[in-house]
Amino acid sequence: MDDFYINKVLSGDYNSYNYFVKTYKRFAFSISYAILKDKKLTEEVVQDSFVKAFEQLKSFNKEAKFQTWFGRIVINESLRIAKTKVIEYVVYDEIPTKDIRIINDSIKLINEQEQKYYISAVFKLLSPKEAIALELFYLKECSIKEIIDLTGWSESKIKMLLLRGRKSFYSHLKKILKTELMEII
Amino acid sequence: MQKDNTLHRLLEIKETPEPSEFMDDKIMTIISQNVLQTSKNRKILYLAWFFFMIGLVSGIIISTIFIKTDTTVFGFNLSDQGLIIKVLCVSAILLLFEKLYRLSIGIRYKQFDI
Repeated sequence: MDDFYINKVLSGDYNSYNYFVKTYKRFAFSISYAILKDKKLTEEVVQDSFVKAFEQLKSFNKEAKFQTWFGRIVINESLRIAKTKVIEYVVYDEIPTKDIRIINDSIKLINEQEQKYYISAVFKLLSPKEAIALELFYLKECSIKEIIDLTGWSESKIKMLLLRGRKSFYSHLKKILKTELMEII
Repeated sequence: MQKDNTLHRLLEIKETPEPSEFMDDKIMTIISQNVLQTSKNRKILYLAWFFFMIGLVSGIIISTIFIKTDTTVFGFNLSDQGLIIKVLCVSAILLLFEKLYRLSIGIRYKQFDI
């Protein structure tokens, strides 16, 4: 389907590009939001990425997947913008399995709305690269190979980011839940 | 690499805002404006090349005629000053050619607009 519309756009029917906007806007928005954590900024980056992809469509290799090619544009653009925001991220030590169990039990004590709120807040505390690695691996169900194609990073870097992201996520969540549960008690 | 199921379940709870409903229209408007601008720029560029070629050809014809005859302009004999005029004209042509060439490359790779 993508190939059909790519050929249409390349033959001059630029309105056919609407198909790509409609199909990939949610995908682009979620991966860019994982990096930028700001709705307005994400919308701007997604818009720019779509325009950039349109302008570079001639150079698209039709043997590749459009989603991967476009996803890479979105990720690069988002990381470029994220670089301008200077925030220091903490690197945490390994979380013991016992603590993960406690976190898992504690989160069940708070209601669904609060769970959503705290987990979203914790996700925002992750560094852009950790966040995108987790988003792609756990939520978009991408394999390591697909993440390599999307980001251009090496396998070891992706694995390191996934491990670091996991540690940071649990550590931040543990801290937040500790305070929250203390308040409840 | 094995997935951490607890982390997977927790991340699924995470909230991701939806893109605004006007985003599609905004993107398509920007794209149609870009397409329009690019085609305008191309037309301007073709015209620039057209006039450059007309100027170049007429310049060659005129200079050939002037050099053959004994024409004077403001008291100067053009055949005497031939070399200076040729140097000035060729420099101007090269300068214009370089500008037009850079503009063509710029428009092709979208480095800048007219």
